[in-house]
Amino acid sequence: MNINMNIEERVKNVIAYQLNLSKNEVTNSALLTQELGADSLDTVEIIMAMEEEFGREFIDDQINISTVQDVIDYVNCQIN
Amino acid sequence: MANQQDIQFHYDVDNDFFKLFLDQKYKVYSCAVWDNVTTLEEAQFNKLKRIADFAHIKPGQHILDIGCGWGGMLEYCLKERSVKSACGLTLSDAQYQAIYKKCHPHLTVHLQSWRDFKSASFDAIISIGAMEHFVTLQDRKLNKHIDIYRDFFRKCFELSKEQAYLGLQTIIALKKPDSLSSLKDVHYLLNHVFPGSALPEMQDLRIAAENMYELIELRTLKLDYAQTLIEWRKRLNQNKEYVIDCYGKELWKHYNKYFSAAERSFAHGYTALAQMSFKKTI
Repeated sequence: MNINMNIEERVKNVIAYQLNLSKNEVTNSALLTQELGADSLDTVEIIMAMEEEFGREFIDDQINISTVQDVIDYVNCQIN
Repeated sequence: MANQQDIQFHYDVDNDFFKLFLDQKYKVYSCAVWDNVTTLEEAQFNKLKRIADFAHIKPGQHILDIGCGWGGMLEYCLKERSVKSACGLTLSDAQYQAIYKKCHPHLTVHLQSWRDFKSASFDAIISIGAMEHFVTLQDRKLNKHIDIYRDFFRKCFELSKEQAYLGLQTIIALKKPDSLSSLKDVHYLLNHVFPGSALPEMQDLRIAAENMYELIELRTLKLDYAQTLIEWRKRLNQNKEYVIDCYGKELWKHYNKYFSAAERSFAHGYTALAQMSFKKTI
C-alpha cells in the first residue's frame, strides 16, 4: 500500500511538473487532454519522464491513456 | 515557426555530409516517389516531376520554391521544364551558399523567410518539405497553427498570378503514437532531429487554404518515404568509416537513429506524406 501510494504521488508530481500545474489539480480522475490541457506530445513527454523518474526502461507495449489514473496504472503495471 | 537557429541546427551540419546519402543528381532531402523505379536517383526525379506537374510548371514561367533546400527543384525546373527564372527561399545559410555559388543567370536564392519575402508575381509556386517547420509545438498548443498555415497560403496567394497553382509536399500527422516505442520515436524526432517543428494534419491545411485555394489533387504516401529513409540509411552506412572519421561517431549514430525512427513512423502509419496541387480560386 505504501509503495503504491508512493508511486501514485510520484506520478502525479511528474504530471504536474510536465503540465505546469499545481499538485492539487492533478486528481486521479482528471482527463489529461480535456481537463489538464495536455496535447498528444505532452503525453509523450509524461511517459518519457516516468521512465526517468522510476529509473528504468519500460517494456514496449500498447499505451492507452486518458486519465491520471490510467498513467498510474500504466506505471504500476510496468514496475510490478 | 521554427526559427533560423532551429533550421540551421538540422540543415547546416555540412553540405558535403548530406551528399553522402542523398541522390547524386539533385540532392533532394525529402520523400522520393518509387513508382516503377529502383534507384534513389530515379525516384527523386519522379518526385520532382510530380510536384512540378502539380504546380503546372511550363516553359517560360517564373517560379518560386519556398524552402528550396540545395536547389534541386530549381535546377529541375530550369533544365527539364525550361522555366525563365527560378527563385528559391531558404533559412539555411549552408543551402543558401551552395545555391549562390552555382552562379546560374536565371537562378536566384534568398536567405529569407517567406513571411518577409516581397517580390513580383510568380506563375507557379512550389514548396517541398518546408511546411513541417512552420508551426512549433507551442503554436499547436495555443491553437495558433491554423492561422500560421493560413498566413502561408495568403502569402502564396499574394505572390502568384491569377489562377496560379501551388505544388505542395509535406509530412502530415495521421495518428497519435499508441505504443511506448512509437512514443520514443516521436520524442527523438521532435527533440533531437527537428526542434521547433510540429507536423500539420491534413484537415489543418484544408481549413487554412479555404477561400484562397482549391485542392485539385492529393496523393498520400507512406511506404515511399519509408523506402527513401531505408535508402538514405543504406548509403550513409556505406560511408560509415568516412562519416565517423570526418564528423564523429555521435553524428553517425544520430542519423541512423533518426532514419530508423522516421522509417518506422511512416511504415506503421503514424505519419504520411501529402502531395497536393492547389489552384488559386481567383
